[in-house]
Amino acid sequence: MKHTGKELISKVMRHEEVPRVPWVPFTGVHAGFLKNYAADEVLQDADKLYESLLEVVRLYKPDGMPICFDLQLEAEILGCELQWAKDAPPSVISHPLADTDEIPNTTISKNDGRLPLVFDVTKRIKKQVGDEIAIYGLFCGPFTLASHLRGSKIFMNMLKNPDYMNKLMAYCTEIALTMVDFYIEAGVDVVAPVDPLISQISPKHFNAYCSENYKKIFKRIREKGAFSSFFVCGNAIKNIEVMCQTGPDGISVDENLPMKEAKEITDRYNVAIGGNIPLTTVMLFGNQQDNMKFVIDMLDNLSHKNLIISPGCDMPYNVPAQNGIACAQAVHDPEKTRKFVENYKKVDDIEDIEVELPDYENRTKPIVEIFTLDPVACAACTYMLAVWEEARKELGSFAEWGDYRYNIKEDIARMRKLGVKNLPSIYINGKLRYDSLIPSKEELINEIRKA
Amino acid sequence: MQLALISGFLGSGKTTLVTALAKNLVEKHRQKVLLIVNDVGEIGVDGQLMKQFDTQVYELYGGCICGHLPNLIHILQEAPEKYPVDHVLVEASGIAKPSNFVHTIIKYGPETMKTKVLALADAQRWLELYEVLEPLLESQIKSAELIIINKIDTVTSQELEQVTKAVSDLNPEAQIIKLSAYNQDDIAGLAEVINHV
Repeated sequence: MKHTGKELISKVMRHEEVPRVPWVPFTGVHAGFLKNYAADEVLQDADKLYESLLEVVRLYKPDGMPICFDLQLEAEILGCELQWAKDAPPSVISHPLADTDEIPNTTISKNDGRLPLVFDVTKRIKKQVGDEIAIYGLFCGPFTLASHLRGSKIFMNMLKNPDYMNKLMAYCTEIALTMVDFYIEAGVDVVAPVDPLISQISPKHFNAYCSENYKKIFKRIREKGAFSSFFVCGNAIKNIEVMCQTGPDGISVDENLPMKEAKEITDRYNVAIGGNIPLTTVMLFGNQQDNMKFVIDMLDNLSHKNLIISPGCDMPYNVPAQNGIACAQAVHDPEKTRKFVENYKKVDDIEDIEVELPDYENRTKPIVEIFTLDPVACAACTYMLAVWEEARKELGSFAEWGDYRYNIKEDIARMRKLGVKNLPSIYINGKLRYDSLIPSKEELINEIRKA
Repeated sequence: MQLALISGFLGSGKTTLVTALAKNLVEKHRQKVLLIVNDVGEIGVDGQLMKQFDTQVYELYGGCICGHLPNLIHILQEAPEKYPVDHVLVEASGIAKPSNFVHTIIKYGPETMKTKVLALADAQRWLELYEVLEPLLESQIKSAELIIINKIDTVTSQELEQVTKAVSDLNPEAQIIKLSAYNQDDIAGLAEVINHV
């Protein structure tokens, strides 16, 4: 019996056995990258965000997905200034409570700040794919929110002014509970407080200031019929146990945490755990095989009950699409992927063969070459080859066409000579044109006509 | 090219230190410096300052802590061609663990770059902060080859001794320098150490 992604996520969150480990790519601003939208565009334009998320669905075949990964939504409404960037989420650059000990009494409404955009897109995505894919609603956890508002003074406050700290945390928890209600009303399946700063404090201080507040949050989520996932960044191994004790259905961790060790703890509490593909060394700078291998190694080394595969945190903006596709492929078809990675290693050991490259400088027509790993076994290669073939069908003898595959020795030699680093890639007249992003047919045809 | 990655908690004086160090390296050692900071606004960097120091300044940004590393690597990869410099001074986020950065910098940064990891300990607050932030501060101290105890002019000799012992116990192998980032002689001494990586 085939399960939808949503069903798989639900089973994991209910701590049941699953036929396949599900995967949830945290495509925050990276979703915009897939459609050539800058980070600040995709977080401020509902249509662009919606379009980008549909591209995530198409390419990455997620079982669950967040609408956005923006820990600044609430802080912005409550008076923090933000600094925007083209290739990253915004950063908080001012702290309205830095110079006052007064605790605000302002609440937030669904119409404040960028919340209308978030909930509008949530509902649209829910309508479009929500039967198949679990929708995650992420919000800034109360401790990180408190640090946005108070600034770095918060850490000394924890030591020297516990009364103030408790009041500030109570206020931020009320904001969190409001976000829970909003997200559930919008129809999300999983509500996820994201609290990176938790990893920086000791379990003693987590218990003093966060524990009871988080118990309230997870109780509210449960009472309203949704699942919960507690996100933390950094090596939070010392806090995993106390986090489990607050009652989430799942915890999501990043690459700094030894996953096996963390899962031993979460299994004791029967809490699901998600993670933890490294963001920079694997997803951003690795190649497809690196990503496939990492996921396969996780599947081989961890028990599958209570497990979700995901990036360690919000994916860097310009992760090559083929790496996300590779992770998806490894999750959806681990057997085929395992063989593919093994075969790729063997091919890598062959000797150089003499090949002649086309005379790109003296060409009489554009030369369009596609280089793939294995267009049958590699999903990213399949997508790119499909676009290349459509362009070839339409343009015909307007250009010269070359299709080279990493499972053919002579083609490997050609790739080495040309200096092809990433696969799949499309080169036009000997110059790399596409590797991170898979173009549309129209875009590729336009580029060929201009060449 | 040499890179000094300076970690230390928020408010420990990293920005003051890297700015003073950059000035000293440029003026006294005639070196070209690339400064990578967390918040350009804090040191009031503008065209005038850059011109004066002959120093390139770039800012790391990006939502969650995790977002800084890709930006940093991108700048470092471009550095040899775009900004040929002698020294790169990187002020790590006040809540970043240097071990996260160092391995990736060494792997993906320019091949000829030598990296040194420094940790800044605030003499005034370190012991108290350690009570709250043990995981973070321990990681910063343990990752460092050189520990700088800053703000020594704000504590008694007994307090300074306590902090020195605490950081030394965590990392007995590291060199320790005690200074005030506002003292020119102290900064000059640090610059000499940095130059002998």
